[in-house]
Amino acid sequence: MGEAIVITSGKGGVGKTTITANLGISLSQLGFSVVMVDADIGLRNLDLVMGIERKVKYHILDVSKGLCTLEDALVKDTRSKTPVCLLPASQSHFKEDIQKDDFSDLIQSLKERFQYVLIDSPAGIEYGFRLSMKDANQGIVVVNPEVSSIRDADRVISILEQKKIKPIYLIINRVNTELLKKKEIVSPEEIQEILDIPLLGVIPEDYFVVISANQGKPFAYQTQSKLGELFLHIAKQLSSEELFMIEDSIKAESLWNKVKKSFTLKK
Amino acid sequence: MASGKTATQRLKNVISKDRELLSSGSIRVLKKELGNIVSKFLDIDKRKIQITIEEADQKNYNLSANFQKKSKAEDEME
Repeated sequence: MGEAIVITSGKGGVGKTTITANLGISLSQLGFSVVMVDADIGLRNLDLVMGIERKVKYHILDVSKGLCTLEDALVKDTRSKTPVCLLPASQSHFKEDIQKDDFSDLIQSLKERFQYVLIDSPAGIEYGFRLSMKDANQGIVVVNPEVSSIRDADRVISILEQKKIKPIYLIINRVNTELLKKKEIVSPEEIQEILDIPLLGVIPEDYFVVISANQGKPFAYQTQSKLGELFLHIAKQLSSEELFMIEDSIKAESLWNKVKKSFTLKK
Repeated sequence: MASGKTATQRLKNVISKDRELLSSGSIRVLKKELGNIVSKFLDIDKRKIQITIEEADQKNYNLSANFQKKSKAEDEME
């Protein structure tokens, strides 16, 4: 039986979808079979970030309504050695259009077939979020070093805790190393102290994240790049339940210069 | 002071409030109403009530209240 992990944040726009896509790919690079579920019904994006939007034929609601099989709807990313599949959201429906039990059944059958089921939750704490966390065993909360994001993350963590989801990991995304150096943002250490859940990773802000989404070429496929390496490291920890040391990435300035160089070389 | 420190401090304050079961306003009303009821049975000082509320487990709350006896001096004044 696979692990179902909900990736959530409360606040929108913090990088849930990018992290889901790349973490999924990195897990597959380690040899795990992975399926990602785009639970943001009505606002489909995981296919676009992955760069497989043209292969989408059916979506989650087609499956729940019996218009196609689960197999039909799964989009396979052929760039990966081990299967990475995507169950796309519908772009034309609303969150409420899928029944709780139908969603649970889908997650259950995916858990039987894949080692990891990554559920990309919509922003907010309403129906779509509650659906996404309903059948998850584990959670990943994505936060940016901004006051609104941190407060929202705290709220989401308390809801996940009430639902007995454990462990709940923290990923701090989009850390601007310039601002960090000037102490003009809440530091990763402080964020972790405030939210008080195990840290899975700290991801510096970088323009290559935008470029890779623009091109539909997730950076996790470049396992030699620093960003790809960082995600591989995060995936290893997630699968081995080891914790992230802030020093690993936030000695970051030097690391980050290397990251930029490695991408420049690759282009 | 760099704004990171200010943000951290403000977050700690606001999140500790967010995590409370009742708002400070609700606590004030609860104290007042408890005081009104309990004072029908016991001689208490309605201004000196302390209450704590905790979630004991999934199904239970623990509510404890501390009432001070009305002092003699006040008794004589009334």
